[in-house]
Amino acid sequence: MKPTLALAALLLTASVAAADAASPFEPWERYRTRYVPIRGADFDLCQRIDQLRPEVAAAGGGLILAAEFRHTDGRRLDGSFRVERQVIDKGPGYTTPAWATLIAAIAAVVLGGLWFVRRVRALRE
Amino acid sequence: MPATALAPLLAARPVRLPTGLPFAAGVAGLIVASAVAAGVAPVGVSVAAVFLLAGPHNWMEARYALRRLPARPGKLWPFFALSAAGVVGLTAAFASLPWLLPAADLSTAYACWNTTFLLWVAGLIVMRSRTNPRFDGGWAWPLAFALTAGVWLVPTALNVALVYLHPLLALVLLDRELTRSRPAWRPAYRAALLLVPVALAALAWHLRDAPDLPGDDPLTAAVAADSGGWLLGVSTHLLVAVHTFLEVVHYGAWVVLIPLVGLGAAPWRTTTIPAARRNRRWANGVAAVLLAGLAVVVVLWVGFALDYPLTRSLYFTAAMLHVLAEVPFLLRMV
Repeated sequence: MKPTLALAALLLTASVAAADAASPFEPWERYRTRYVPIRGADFDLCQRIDQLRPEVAAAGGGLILAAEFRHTDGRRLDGSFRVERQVIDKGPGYTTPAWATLIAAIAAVVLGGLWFVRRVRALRE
Repeated sequence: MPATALAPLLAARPVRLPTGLPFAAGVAGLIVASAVAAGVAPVGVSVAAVFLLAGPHNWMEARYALRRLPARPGKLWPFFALSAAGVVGLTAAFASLPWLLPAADLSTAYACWNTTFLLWVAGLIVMRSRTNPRFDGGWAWPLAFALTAGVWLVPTALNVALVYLHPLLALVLLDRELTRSRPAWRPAYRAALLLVPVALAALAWHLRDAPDLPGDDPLTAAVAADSGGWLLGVSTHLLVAVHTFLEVVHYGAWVVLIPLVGLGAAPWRTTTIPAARRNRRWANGVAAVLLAGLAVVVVLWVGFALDYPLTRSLYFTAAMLHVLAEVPFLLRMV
């Protein structure tokens, strides 16, 4: 049992070190996004972006880019709109998703390591 | 023995085609026809296929599930209880999340849903591994947690993956069904399945530079959205074509191929359903379930005719039920 516990502790330490160096722990910001028509733009379309894809408008980050350039109905939006972002909330990197990612990754590594050891032992016997 | 003596014997032997060839030819035909149709008219084919076949294929799935369910769960009741709880609970949660939560919280909500889904599947795999034929299911938990970590990094990635992977489950189920009932057909069937990656590659190559689908009507928008059309940098024409191709193959497998080998009797005959053989009351119950399913099919057709985009949206939300139900059935057939 001792070697198994030692392996689990080793895997746990390595996972925490790896996860701490990973990107989910960077500081975050949440935006409020507005699409402002500039030239030749269809104002109704601006409003429809928020209606059809509210999660895109609210998410911030990479998904916002998807809404900037490509609408769900296939019409391109580039050139005609200005995307205004207003920071409404921000915080340190230790968000719920970051913690969940960390815990799940550690569990995966530890359980996977233990399963691998058990498997090797079973094959030897 | 001189060669001349063998001649009459050889002449009398009939020429036999490889077993299962007609079935495999049908599978190949379905795959090729679906890919061509989806590539040429993705929106039209998607609309027509969902209109005509969405309901019937669900009914066939329910009919097939009834045939495969044991009359009494016996020692397997924990597996079936967890299966039923997951199928109903996860479907209800998936349908209600957009109504219950503000848009800003949906990302976390979908991450929670996907985490629950992954742990549910892992639990079923482990439970299944402890019943005959047994296997080592210890890999299920680490894999589930590794995927969970990914789910929290990109919450909707698994949902998009399910959209594209779920249609292929029918082909896997058909493979398991052939293993049970017509093992000699399986080699030819598996050879025909090689056309699926070929068709996907052909669609991707043909539509790699295709412009987005024209039209900003609600119907085109709904079809594109069902295919993950908001993905950055990918032509909605390509996405809809690939999704339509997989959906049509999926419908064809459930409506034609699996009934050919897996029902054991005409779909309307309940004599091959174990639960219906328990007693008269159960037989009536099974018949009532199947009749209610037919009623739902008719209601879907009416709904599609009256308001196609709305009915399609409602259907694809409720269809999560059959996506989830396929998981335990597939596991029981491993």
